[in-house]
Amino acid sequence: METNQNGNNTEADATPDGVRQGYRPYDTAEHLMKTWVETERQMWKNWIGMMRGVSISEAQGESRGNAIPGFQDWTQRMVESRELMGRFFALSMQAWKDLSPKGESSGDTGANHQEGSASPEDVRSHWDSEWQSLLNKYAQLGRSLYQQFPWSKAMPEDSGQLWQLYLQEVQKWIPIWTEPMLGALAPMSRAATGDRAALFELSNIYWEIYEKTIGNFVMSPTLGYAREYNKKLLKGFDAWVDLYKVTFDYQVVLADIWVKAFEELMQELASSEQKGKKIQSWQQLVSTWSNIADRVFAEAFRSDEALRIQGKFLNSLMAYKIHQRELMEILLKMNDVPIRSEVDEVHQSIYELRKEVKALKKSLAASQAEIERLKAAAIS
Amino acid sequence: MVPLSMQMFPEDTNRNLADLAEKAFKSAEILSRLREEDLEIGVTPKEEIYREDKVVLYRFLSDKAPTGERIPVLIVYALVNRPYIVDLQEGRSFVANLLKLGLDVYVIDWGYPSRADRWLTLDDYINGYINNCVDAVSDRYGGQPINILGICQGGTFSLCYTSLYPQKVKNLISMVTPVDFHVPEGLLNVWGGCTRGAQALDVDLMVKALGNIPGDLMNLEFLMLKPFQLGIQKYIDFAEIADNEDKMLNFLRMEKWIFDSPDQAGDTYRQFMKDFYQGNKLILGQVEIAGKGVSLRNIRIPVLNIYAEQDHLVPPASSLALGKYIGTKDYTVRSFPVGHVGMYVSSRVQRDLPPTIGDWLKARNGQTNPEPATLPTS
Repeated sequence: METNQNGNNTEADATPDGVRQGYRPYDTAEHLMKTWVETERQMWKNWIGMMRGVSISEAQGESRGNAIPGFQDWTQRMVESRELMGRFFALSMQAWKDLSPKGESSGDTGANHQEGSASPEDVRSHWDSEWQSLLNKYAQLGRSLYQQFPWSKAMPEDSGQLWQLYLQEVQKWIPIWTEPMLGALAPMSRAATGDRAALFELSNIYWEIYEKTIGNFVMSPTLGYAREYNKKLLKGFDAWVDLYKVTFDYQVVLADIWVKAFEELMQELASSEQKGKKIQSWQQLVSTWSNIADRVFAEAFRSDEALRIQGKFLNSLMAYKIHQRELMEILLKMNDVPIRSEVDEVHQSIYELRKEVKALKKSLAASQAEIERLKAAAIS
Repeated sequence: MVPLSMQMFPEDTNRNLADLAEKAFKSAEILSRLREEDLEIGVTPKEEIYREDKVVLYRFLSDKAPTGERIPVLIVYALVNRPYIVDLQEGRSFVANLLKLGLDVYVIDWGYPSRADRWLTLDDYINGYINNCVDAVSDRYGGQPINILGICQGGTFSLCYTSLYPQKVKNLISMVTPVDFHVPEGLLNVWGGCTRGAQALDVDLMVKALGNIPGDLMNLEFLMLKPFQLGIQKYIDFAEIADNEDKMLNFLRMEKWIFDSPDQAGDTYRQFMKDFYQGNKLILGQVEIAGKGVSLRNIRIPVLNIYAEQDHLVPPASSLALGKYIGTKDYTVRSFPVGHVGMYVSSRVQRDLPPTIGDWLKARNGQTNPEPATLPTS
């Protein structure tokens, strides 16, 4: 009989179709993470060992294998740093485990720490202190690592202040991630029950994180020689992100239409059956399906919400196209190729001139007709 | 539950598939013989009588009475799709049927606007092209006012034109013409922003991004109004007739017409969408073209309003609104139990519509129209 890493009976857990009871995706993820951390740790050890052998022999002209003073310790610290990084990931995983029971409809939590269903505030408090402790240790180790590095001897001793600043900044970022994660619990559980609005909420939470982090950075003024180009590039990226975001919302609306249309088709078939009417060919089935699907589609896209999403989708697509063209025009200009905006400008001038000529011709014709009329009147 | 409500037993399904396969092979054989040139469209002979930029005014030729004794009708078609739908093929030509009734038929072909035309406005179309075409036809009739038959968007343009130049139009026929753009049954109205304005469609942004609005994009929008019926069902139905060459040719001609969509001049599209679809300014009397106000009350000539009862593009209520806002006392409404496209190709409409128009025009041919009201100015 097989057992898994936790000593659980895998055969007993497995359903007849091979799906394990109580299986959670993060179990696999955690396993992968551990493997990755261990691999990385070994890689660092090997790499530093190799580097030590090469660099020192080249730097000091000595035989391979003689380390410079302190390098051994530094290597050890780097390995410890990797292990701390491993803990960082493990803690992240743990946090998700803490959160996940809230977001799942089944009561099977699987692990001891998930039992009792602590309140979100408790989870957050516990989580914050864990983070704090880990960060402090990480900072301490980082400091000692920095101070023990052979080339850092000449650097100022007050680098601790730098670490404090670094830590303060890192701590500012934590709530940006933790708050939305906690806020995602409720919509996550509703999404699991097929609530479409919850998917939008989750999507918004995800994009709020983006807005507060990368999005915020992207919209800030840039510096230097390439600032104008960078600005266009970043705005283009931001437009792409907007489009990407609303494409998801649009896809949710479409998916919902498919589900509703299918439900209605089933109801229609059942109702027809009760009336003694039956579908007798696949063409008839497709026809019934098309009529229902189009009706559901039209009803959905009359709703305010779907209309808003479709509008955002179209408008984001257009905004993205404008940014895309601006970037393309930079490249074309650099290569002496006439650009769309220039050609549009020329066309506009031609259009205005053409219109002016038409008006003048009309005015001239009217004047000539009037002259002819006056001449004829004078003769008569 | 599904199997219970279906009687598609394996033998039926197999028979179905066998039928389909037989038709598919036959249709493949027919298609392999056909060429694009076989889809002849616009069968009635015609002559060009006026040209301006990409716009051409055609007169359809007939062996009936000479011009002077006939009733002139100028067809103003929409900018969307090509006007040859009115002369699609032998036996399904609206124009040919009008000619048989003794009408002298003209049509404006808007051409295919290119990017150079993106700055064209409603002023250019209405005060420019339509007015010049009307003058060209009128000149052939000694400067007399002529009859206008406006179709779909062309009908809306014709209403604007008649309001601005009432002295140049003798009778007006509006066919499947949108008038009230805020009728909620029309999904096209809703998508165009009749309820949410720029939130549903930011027209300025679209024109800035695309310049001209691609015909393919317009087509996609029309298809999305009934995506399953127009994208799937139609071709399933096609399989049923694909073993008949004549029916297949009819189908292919319609396909050609549907997907042969000119781009929309950017600034015209902008003004039309914002003023008509989003602002619904036509019925509010707030449309301005080159500084001149358009008022439906100013239309005092006889008007025949024809609509399609199952029109999903222009809901009947949108067309029927004309009766509430128009200034004429001679107002007639006719309808046909078909959809928007059915108005051009349905055999029943082909049989009944031309006489409806012909009789209505003939009854008013000798009449003198009331004096036009003073033009509103802005």
